Amino acid sequence: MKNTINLTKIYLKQTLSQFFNRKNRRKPSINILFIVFMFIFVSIAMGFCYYGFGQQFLLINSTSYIIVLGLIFSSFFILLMNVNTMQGQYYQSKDYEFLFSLPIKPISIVSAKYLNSYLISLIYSLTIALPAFIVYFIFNPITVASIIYSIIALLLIPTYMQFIGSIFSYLLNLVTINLKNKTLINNILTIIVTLFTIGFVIIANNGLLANLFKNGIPLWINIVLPHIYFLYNSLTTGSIVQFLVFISITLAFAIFSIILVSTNFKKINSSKFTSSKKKLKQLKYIRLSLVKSLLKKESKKFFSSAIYFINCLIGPFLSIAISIALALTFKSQIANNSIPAEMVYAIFLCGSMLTICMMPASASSISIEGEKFFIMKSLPVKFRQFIGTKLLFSILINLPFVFASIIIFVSIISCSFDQIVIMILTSIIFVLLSSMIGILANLKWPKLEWNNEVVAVKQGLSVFVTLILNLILVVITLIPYILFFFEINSVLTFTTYFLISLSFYLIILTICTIILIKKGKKIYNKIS
Amino acid sequence: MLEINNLTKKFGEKIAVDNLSLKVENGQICAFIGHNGAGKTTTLKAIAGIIDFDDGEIFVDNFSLRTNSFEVKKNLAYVPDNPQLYENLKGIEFLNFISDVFELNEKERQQQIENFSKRFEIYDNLGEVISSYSHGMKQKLVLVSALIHKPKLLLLDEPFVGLDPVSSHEFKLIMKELASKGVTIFYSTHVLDVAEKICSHVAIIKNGKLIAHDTMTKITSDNSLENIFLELENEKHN
Repeated sequence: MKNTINLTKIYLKQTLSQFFNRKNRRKPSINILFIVFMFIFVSIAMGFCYYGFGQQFLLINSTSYIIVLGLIFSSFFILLMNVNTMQGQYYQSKDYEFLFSLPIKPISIVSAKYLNSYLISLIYSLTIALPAFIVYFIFNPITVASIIYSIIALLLIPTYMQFIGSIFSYLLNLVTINLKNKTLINNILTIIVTLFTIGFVIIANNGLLANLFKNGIPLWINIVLPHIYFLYNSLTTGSIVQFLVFISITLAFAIFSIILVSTNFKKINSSKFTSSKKKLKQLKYIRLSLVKSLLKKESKKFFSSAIYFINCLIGPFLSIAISIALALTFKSQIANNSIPAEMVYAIFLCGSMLTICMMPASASSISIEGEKFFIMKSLPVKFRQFIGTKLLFSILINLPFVFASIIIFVSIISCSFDQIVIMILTSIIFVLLSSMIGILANLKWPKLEWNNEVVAVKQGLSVFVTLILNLILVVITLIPYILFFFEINSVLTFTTYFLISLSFYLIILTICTIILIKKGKKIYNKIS
Repeated sequence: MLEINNLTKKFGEKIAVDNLSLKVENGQICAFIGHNGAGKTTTLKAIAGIIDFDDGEIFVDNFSLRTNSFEVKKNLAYVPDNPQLYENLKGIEFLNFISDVFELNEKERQQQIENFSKRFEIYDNLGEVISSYSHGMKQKLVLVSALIHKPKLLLLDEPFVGLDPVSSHEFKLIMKELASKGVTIFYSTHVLDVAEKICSHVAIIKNGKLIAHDTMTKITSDNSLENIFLELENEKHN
């Protein structure tokens, strides 16, 4: 028991350190305040979201379904989190060798890992499910039993999905263990699940939610998520039997998870030592140009780092989802002449730029090198080659998404040739500009000392500055067009206005390029 | 203390350790040498209970690893070649965790931690987070953690890698002191001249098979361990 508690403390410390860089020496109270602030912020946002769903459910007089929806969302996020974390915790456990050389029973190790995962899942669960319970009580009568049930339920919700998560992550681990690009596959799966969630929210908000629940809770929810079914019944009917079944299910799956994993923990983890040696591949000695070689290095780093990959590509993926959503939402409105087509094009461009260019890879491409940056600096690689390839890579990974989102948009909403050209040009130049701003900011504020890639990718000043500057650029060029559409449109056409914006971007791009050429090398040499 | 009987470990088709048998008695320091990929680390991991083996039996202090791995682990300490530490813990927190695992009381742990951390000159750094340690400091911390619970068997995989000359010298002294107190030390190394100086016994492994195991003096006689090792290695190619 003592070992379990000690290990849980260690794991919690590790998990928390992923959010906060200990080298910052920031006061723990500030860290806690930050967590509380984030918790409240997300919870309020979720609360508004549930309130909107509540209005939908009012149409079919079934506001109690808010709780089902809240539980589905929280289950989904817990599953996603556990699939990701449990692969590292249970199946590719880094501390397996160390812990297994000590006299600690596997059940103690697995229990600690489970507890850590449970506590983190609980935070996620509370953030997402608690607002659903609050909104549920806004629309439905409050009873003592329902309050008690809700409090206990909030504590037990994560366990069932932790079990499902551990099974999923085991299967994912089995599938990807011998694959060359396993990180990439994991990342793509994560993005697909995230986009699926976003898609679901969009569909739900378009009035389809009421249709989904018009015949009661869908059968698949009762089968796949039985804990939700029993909790819902106990809350709505006050049945203690149903609630006891809910408690039994959640506790049974928690115990079953721990026993199942601990009995197989050694077998699963030692399999990484016992996998058969790969056949010797024929070595290739292909010579690449320095630029190609540097680009290859950039792409290997990019696709092998989950946090870097997801952080930089979630926006571009989201831009495609936004282009579909905008096109579908406004198609009929344009046809009815209830909104001018040019305004929709501008909204699309605005959304596309905001999502694609918020986090260009260049903004953290120097920081992500970490201490290896100095190895690069010691090599006979010229400054312009080093920076140029980082810039080029950042542009190359964003451009396909620019084209894809424009193609999707214009295939749903018809545009004239000159409008398509101006949309493409504006997007391309903005990608160039945002990447340039990113690289300049990262050059000025590199964060090379880190223990966790999260620090380099998310917590650097360069990322923040890039985000703000890109936001300002979009706001000052696109927002006025949307806000003062009728005034502007009486003087300038869409094409003319965006040609002016394009010229403005080109001027800024030229200034940034001059700064990079004139000052960049000096700043680069000073990095130590 | 350590008895390995017909140990066989396969990685798919490849036999990493092939029918290996050896005994290391109390108080012996036995160097385990062999070329890269010979099976040294696999053998050490099998003894430490980290990986299962296909055939054979391992006994530590007369406890069978197959049937009583928990008791075996209580009596040994394993230092891997590339230790994975909890980077976000302070050095002292890590050592306290190990002390808790081996149920050392406060007086005992204070005495042991102070003794070994001072000898390795990391006592002043124990209050810092491990992530701020250099590679050598991390290696010293792992060595301290392996010594504080007074193990009967020390399994070390390349223990001198990363140690500065002073610490390396100190660790050799510690190894000799422990051996004189009856602790068994079985360690893999490529530094043959060090092994020759401090080890009472040597075991040589080649392609998973034990090709020599005896006292250092009998193996080397009037030759150097390096020459003997190279001769034995070359026999394979001829």
